[in-house]
Amino acid sequence: MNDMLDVVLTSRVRLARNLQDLPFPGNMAQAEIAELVQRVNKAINTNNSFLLLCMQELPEAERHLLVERHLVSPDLAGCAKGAALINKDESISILIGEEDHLRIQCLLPGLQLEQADSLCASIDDMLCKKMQFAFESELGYLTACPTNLGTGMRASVMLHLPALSLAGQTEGLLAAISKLGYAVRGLYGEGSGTHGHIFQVSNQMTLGVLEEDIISNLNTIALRIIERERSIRSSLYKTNKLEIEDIVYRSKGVLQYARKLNAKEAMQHISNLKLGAGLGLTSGLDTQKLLNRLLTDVQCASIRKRSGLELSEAQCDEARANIVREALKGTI
Amino acid sequence: MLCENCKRREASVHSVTIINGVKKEHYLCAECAKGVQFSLPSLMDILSGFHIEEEEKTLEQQCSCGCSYSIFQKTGLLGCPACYRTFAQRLTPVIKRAQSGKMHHVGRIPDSIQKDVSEVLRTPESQAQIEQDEGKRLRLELHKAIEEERYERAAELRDRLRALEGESNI
Repeated sequence: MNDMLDVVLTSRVRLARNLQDLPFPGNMAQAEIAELVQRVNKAINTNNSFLLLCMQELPEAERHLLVERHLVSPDLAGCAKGAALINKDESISILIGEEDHLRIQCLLPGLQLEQADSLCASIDDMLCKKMQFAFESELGYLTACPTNLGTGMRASVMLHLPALSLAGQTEGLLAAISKLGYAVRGLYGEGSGTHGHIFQVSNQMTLGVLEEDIISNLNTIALRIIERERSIRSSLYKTNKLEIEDIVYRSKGVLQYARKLNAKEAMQHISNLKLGAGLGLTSGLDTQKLLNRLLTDVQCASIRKRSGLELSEAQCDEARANIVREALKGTI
Repeated sequence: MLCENCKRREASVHSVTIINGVKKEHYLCAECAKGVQFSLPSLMDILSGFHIEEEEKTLEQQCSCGCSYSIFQKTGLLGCPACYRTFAQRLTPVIKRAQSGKMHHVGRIPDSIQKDVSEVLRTPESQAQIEQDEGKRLRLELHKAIEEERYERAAELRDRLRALEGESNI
């Protein structure tokens, strides 16, 4: 498995860019942002390869859905001023009018940081031919917050670390990572908790470093963590075979037969089953891919969107259990 | 100590206000101090805190976009790209802290600027071209001057031509 789907859920790269001739979005009126959205749309979306979604026109549930799928940041969905341009396979989204004029982001499954970077760079190149970005030779790309100056690049990997968590080693490891200038957060970014043993590691410094180095250092860190996670998985399994199998098969049972599942519970059991799949306790092709997709599909807005109805929490739990049962039928 | 308002002249006025137990000190130059009223605040002013606000407003530097440093301190966000120049002095330590001491961009640069840079780099070439053209022009003019027996002008042109060729040989 060369894209490391057993440990890495997704790789993401985003570039912050601002136009030279405008104040930053926090200092812009709604109408000015609407104008900016049109300007960017005109510049990049000539053959309609992107879907333009204006936050103001979207119902709240739709905006939540975009956040759950990591296509839009909670900030953009919350402020309801800007817009997002999303390509057909949802690998690229351009957020307009969030903290910076543009946030070009690319999200790919597994460990694919270099690919994500080159996709971002190609969009950056296209846009830069049509508009003048705020740039200074000393400080690089100018951003609303000085923490994004320079490259404007934030690269991150979403990691599933159940063995490190069970062995109580996450804290030590994560402290070591932060010493290297990389930050660790929960599934939905800043301030979000860690559910289902999922952690997000991203670079903190953006100035005075080459984009290539941000990417390759993060890649190296991710590979080290993967190696450690895998070795603890197998040693845990060797020493606690019965306990690990019990955890995995109980979760498998719950996911295959439960009639009601809340989001947190579902995440926990999918996480356990992913651990089992990594240890070869489940059969079936592409199980990791399927489970990674399920991690997003069991979130509230995704379920509501799929059912097309206004669901109460209890109805949502029922729909979630149905979705999970259906997805796992005959595959594991 | 430099004046905390203009940050250019030496501070010569030291103002201390203690309102509701809060001590505030300002160091200003004579020029900037003229713009600040040091009269004793009235009782109403003290109660409403108006005096302090007014004094701070006078001292606050603003960017053309309307952003001030205290807005940045509150929100963590600047108002426009030009704010980086306006508040350069105060932002330097902030940037250093956020970026682990790094202050110089080394990454990618936009295409448009890359073009400018390559034009600058191309200057020696184009400079040589200009000199060559100038040499041609001078030589033509020199021939013409000799033909027309304007020897004074010819001598002048010869000297300029020598100087030009000497320069490009260096």
